[in-house]
Amino acid sequence: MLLGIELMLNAANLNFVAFWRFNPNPDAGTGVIFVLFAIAVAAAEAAVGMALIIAVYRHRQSVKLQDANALKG
Amino acid sequence: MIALAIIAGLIVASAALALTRRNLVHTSLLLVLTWAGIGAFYLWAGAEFIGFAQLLVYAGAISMVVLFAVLLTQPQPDLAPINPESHKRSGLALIAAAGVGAVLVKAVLATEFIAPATSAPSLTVLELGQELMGTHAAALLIIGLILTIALIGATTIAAARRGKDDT
Repeated sequence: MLLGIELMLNAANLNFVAFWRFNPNPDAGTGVIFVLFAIAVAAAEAAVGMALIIAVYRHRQSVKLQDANALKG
Repeated sequence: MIALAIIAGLIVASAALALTRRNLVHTSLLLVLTWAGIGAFYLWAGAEFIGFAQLLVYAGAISMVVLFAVLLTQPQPDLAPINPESHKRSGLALIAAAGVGAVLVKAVLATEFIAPATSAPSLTVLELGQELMGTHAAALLIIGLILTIALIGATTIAAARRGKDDT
């Protein structure tokens, strides 16, 4: 699931760079800068996500999402 | 154009293959290929800095984090059988994806494209740095703060219970 999120963020970055590459006003570097910030946020998100997975695994000895339903109403 | 086709084919094929594997190690190794392909696309598009950042951050760092998380939580080789509920859900997901795809294709076909820039826009690292430290200095500071907080938080979460229930 986390890997899926990473793939989606990558797809968005791909679009940013593609539109930056083919836009009629090539002076603006906005697309590149947005991609830089997106990559930084994605890296932070990945680190926190993996830490959460390790914490959940240590707690329940399992990484199956179906088992982690303690907050289910 | 041929290079673009090769890169796109590599990205799509490795991503699709990665999502169908049931072995997490295979999935993460295939995703490394996908991320490297995306870095190659950035290089092709003329965004060299982003290309190398992508290679360093994704193909280097995030793949290592993913592999370590997989290996630290691996020792359960029993591939759980897919329960029938998720088959039903995958059907619904396919329908939703087809709907979104249809809307997007219609939007792309209905758009009139103005003539694209023929040559790649050039953005040197100097300009990039000046823009980052000038116009976007506040955002840069906030990003640095977010990264620091996230890394400290990740370390705390992952190491918190070491003393108590490390059974």
